[in-house]
Amino acid sequence: MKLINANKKFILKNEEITILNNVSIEFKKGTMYLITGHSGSGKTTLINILGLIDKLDTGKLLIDNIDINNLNNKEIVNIRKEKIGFIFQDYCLNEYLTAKENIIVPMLVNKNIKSKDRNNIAINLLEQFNLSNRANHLPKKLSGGEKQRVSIARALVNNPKYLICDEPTGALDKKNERIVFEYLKKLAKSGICVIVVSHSNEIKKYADKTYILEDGIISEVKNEDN
Amino acid sequence: MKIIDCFKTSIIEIKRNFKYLFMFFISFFCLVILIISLTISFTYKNRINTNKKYNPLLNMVSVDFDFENIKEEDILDKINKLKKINHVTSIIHQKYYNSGGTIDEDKHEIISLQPLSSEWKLPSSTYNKPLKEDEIIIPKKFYKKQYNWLEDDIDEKDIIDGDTLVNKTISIYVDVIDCEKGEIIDIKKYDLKVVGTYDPTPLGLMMYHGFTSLETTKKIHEASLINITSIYESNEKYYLQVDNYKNLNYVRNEIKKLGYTDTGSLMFIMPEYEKTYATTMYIISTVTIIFCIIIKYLFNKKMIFENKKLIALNIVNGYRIKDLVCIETFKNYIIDFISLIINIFVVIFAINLYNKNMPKIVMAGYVPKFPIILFLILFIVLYLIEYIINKIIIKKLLKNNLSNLLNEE
Ligand SMILES: Nc1ncnc2c1ncn2[C@@H]1O[C@H](COP(=O)(O)OP(=O)(O)OP(=O)(O)O)[C@@H](O)[C@H]1O
Ligand SMILES: [Mg+2]
Repeated sequence: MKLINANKKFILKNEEITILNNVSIEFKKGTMYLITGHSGSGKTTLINILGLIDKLDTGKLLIDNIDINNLNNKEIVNIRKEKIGFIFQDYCLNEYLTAKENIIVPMLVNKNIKSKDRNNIAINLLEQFNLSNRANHLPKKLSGGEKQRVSIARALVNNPKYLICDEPTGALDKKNERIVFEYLKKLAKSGICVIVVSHSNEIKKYADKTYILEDGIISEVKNEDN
Repeated sequence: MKIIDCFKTSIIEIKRNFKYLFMFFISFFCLVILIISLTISFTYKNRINTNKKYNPLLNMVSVDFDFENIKEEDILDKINKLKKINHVTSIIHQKYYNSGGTIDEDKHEIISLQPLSSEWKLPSSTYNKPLKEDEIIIPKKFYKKQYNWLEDDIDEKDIIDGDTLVNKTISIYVDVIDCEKGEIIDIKKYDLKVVGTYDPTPLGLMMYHGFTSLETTKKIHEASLINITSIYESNEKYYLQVDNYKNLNYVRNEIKKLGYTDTGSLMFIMPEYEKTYATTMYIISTVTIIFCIIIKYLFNKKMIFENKKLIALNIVNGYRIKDLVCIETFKNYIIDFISLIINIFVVIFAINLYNKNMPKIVMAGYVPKFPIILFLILFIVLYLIEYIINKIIIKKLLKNNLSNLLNEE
């Protein structure tokens, strides 16, 4: 996944907020990226662009060497479905569906998964995230950490190549934070590109590369571990 | 997304989200009003149409001559001219409509006789040949006791299955009145052969109206009045039987051309006010539909906008707009579907209750009707309405930036 000469601005009344100023950056598979920056620097906007939720003003976004600007709606829908998984700070679970059903939701539009296999895939994922005994619970009966694990499992059902996480541990305690980061690290090792926005210090131990977004410019921060 | 998955998802959400119970009540309330008003309009509409088609009384024009200054030969001459008008099948003096008698000597059981011109076909009639002398067609459900017809409960025992009397003779006792003395001087008996039955309800006729040929009615009537004074003759009208309701205006115009007074008929008024009734009910139905669509739109919009985060998330999950519209449409349509099914039973129950509790003779002609085909149409129309409403709302929602939808609390 590549950004080339990317520009993004918001214009609020008279004020102009520059989020990306001629940014070029590459995110590779099998790597875990951390993006930091002070509040309001545009981290969410940046990863929304990477996750096809938001659009660039100018510049190019290449996903697996495909220029997003050249795609029609249907092709964009397919890329969202097949290549990208998203994790949010507030989990975004459907409160009327059980943990298992929430995980099944993205599979319903995936033609590559047969309907009879869905249940098994969901159960396997729940097992991987230590949630087997929570499969039939509604989100309101789950703890924050459990909810976030459900939402990670949901992001993974369609086997995305890119997993984009916006402050995935913002609402979790230290212990759960570590659990989530360990899962993310494992996923990165298995060949997925994991991009995490976080304020946590904890994650610095896990990230392969750390970037800081400031005044529209992204620069790499050298990790003392690496 | 496959339809079956869309359906399953909808079902799960309806079952677990209690807000859909509220949506159900709205849907139910709207459908009740709609179906009641449609039932009333259809009942009237149906009554008007069957009357136009079958009721001989409705298809008549009455003509008034200036009887006081006219000679008998002149009347005959005029009648002959009227007879030549196109579409006029027969002409009969108004007074012959008053014939009737009792069918038992104790005078409790009354039958009223109406002349039927040979071209007329009565609703559900089992006998379609022209009537000969002393032949009679009686109602399918024949009720003989006239005197307590206003009472609420008519004893089912007093209602006879008319078909069992076919080919039998019934005797009619007619009082012979001396008009000068003003008293009954004799009772005459006529034997009439029942040749068939008809259904009086669509015509709004009571269950004791029999039809005989013009000649028979005339014969019975004339025999029952003796020494008729001019009071009985003057200022009475002639009825022109017209072959079809559509030709009434043509005939009325022809009468005017001849220079006679067309006085219309009481029966002209009936369909007019019933038409107003039916139209009023159609207007109520239309207003209900519009009102309900607005209500539906507002509530659906509220539900969808409350859910906007999940809807946006599903876009991120790779759902197409089509899939989202499908889920929202199904959720609402399933609710409408259930409330419509319940409504069908409510309507059947209410109509039965009405039929049971109304005096049978009084309600003749007001048979509540709700065509089954309309229910089928409603099932389809409801789906279309839900589809359009939900599509509009989802499109409206997705005009917002996806990132805004996801970030808003
Ligand atoms: N749709 C929008 N329209 C206008 N301005 C926006 C929009 N979205 C974000 N902004 C502005 O862009 C800036 C960056 O927002 P963003 O949410 O990307 O910051 P962030 O780095 O994620 O902050 P935080 O750490 O608080 O989550 C903010 O000043 C915000 O007000
Ligand atoms: Mg943010």
